[in-house]
Amino acid sequence: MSTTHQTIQRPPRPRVVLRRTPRDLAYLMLSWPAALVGFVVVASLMGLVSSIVLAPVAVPLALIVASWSAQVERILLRRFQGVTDAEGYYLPSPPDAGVLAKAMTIVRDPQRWLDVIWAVVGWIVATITWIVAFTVWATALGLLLWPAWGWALPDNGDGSLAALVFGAETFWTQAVIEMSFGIVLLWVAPWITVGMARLQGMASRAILSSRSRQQVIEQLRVSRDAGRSAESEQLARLERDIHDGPQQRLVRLKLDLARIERQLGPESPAAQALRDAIISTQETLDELRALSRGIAPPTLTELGLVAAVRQAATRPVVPVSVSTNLPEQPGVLPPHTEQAAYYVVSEALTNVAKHSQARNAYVELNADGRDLVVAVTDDGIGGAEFGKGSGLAGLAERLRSVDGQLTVDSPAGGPTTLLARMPHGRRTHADRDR
Amino acid sequence: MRIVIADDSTLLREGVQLILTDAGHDVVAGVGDAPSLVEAALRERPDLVITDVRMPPHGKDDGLRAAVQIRQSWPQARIMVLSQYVVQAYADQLLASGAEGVGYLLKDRIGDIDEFLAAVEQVASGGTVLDPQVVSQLMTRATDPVQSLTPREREVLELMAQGLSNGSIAARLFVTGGAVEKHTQRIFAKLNLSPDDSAGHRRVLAVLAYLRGAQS
Repeated sequence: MSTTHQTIQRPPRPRVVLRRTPRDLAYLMLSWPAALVGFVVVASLMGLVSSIVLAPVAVPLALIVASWSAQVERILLRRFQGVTDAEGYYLPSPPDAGVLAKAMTIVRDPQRWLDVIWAVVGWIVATITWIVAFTVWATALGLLLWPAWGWALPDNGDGSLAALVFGAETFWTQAVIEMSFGIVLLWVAPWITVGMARLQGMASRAILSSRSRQQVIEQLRVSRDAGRSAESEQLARLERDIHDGPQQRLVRLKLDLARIERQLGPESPAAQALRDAIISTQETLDELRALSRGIAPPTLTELGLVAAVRQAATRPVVPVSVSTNLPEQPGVLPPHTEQAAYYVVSEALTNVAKHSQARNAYVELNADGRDLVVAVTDDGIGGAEFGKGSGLAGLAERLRSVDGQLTVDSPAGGPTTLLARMPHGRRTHADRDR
Repeated sequence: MRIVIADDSTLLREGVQLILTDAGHDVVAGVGDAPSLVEAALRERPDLVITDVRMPPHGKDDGLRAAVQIRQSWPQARIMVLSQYVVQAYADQLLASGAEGVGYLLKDRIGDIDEFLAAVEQVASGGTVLDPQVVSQLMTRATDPVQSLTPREREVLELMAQGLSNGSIAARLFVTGGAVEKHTQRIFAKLNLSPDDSAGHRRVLAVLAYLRGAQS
């Protein structure tokens, strides 16, 4: 990870700069005229805002022109700067919308107003970068070609830089000095070009495609949420299918075997084999039950988080007290949150029973406005670590998958507190904002 | 006796029915969801209702809710609840509806046919039967003075909590009834329980209440 970091931080190497120079120069040279046209038109149209009669036409028109100008800049960004995500995110106008509705959509669109900002800011930035780049190259080339035009200067070039500063007398000493400056300028021109292009690219990307990036992030969030709920739904269905299918059949098989055993009587030669079959059926049932607990704890879907945690608290050898501010019913929080929280409690209690030598344990389960906080404390010997096999690393991993965090406070001698904090994902503000 | 069975799995319902008819019982109705169970139980008024917990329409604790509902309109109903896994809360809810003539067993126990049939008889005659897992969960977490009991006394206490009579306990532990009687006396003395509670479902309740109290 550190290597890529260094590559980014290091200034570009000469070869890279030289390779980039033509494209960056083309970008700067083309970008300014486009920005200039955009600025002039948008600014003139916006100037009509004060006119009550013309504003309803002028403002949407200005917004449209601004977006065209922005589109040109985006194309240049993609074509010459290799920016792949240079996309605007425009509100789609409703199908079959009238002219008024379309105009309203345009006026309401935040992206188009950003484009207007771009028409001003972009024009200023482009002007500066264009002038700097143009001047550097023009001066460098001019100085290099000095012998071709130096003779035309008045007084045989006595007013030239070389003559004034260095007191060069003859035409050719002047020429050598001017051309040396030309070479130095030519040498720094690529760096200046690349720097200017980067400056302008940053400005235009920040204004022109930030909304699209936000949109991508939003889409990723939505699709991840959908993926999560589909996953927990599927796990719950799998658990149900195991319960309704193989589990029931095995119970029935055991009943039938027991019936046969009973009918044959204990003296029958087949009785022992039947007993073995019954035992093995029971073992299969136990394994299957453990398996479905791992997939989706049935108590969780049936009873909800609080009751399932209370039930889990009856399993360990030490007494566990549970306190919570959540209501005791199923489906209080999204399934993936409930599953993660249950997993934390269940793993933590397993650790308490296995390693802590505790006499008591306490589970706290509290939701605030944003987060669900799960705390499991025991009065044992402490010294729990994120080592291999402690299960804590796996727990931390699991929590990261729901944007959660795990902290463990376990000094030698105890007590141990395991604190998990995760956004509970109960949507309130986020939904209203959209 | 006349029995109503409820389980959404026909396979399992038939299995239980076969065992019961083998033993000479009469299964008067077999239903697959909670509302039908309530309806069938109140219509047939059987000697015993046997029901699964997880059933349609909600696929959650519908069977248990149906059991509680039946006892609300018919307090004398004898109900045995079967479940795929033990949930303490289920046992508590069931006992809260009245401890006389209720049972809560893991489905796996039906495989021990003799014990299952004995439990059926016991619940039908007004006793209380709890799955050993429910009781052992309570036992392992109970603190003093339960911990001061001898291993044998703990064993007896565990069987008492499950709802076994002294006779059944004696048979299970291969000792005489008199020996069990002595054990129970000592347990009651050590735990400071009233000897009034030494018979029937009241004994189960007393022991359970004690175990729950001894947890904290």
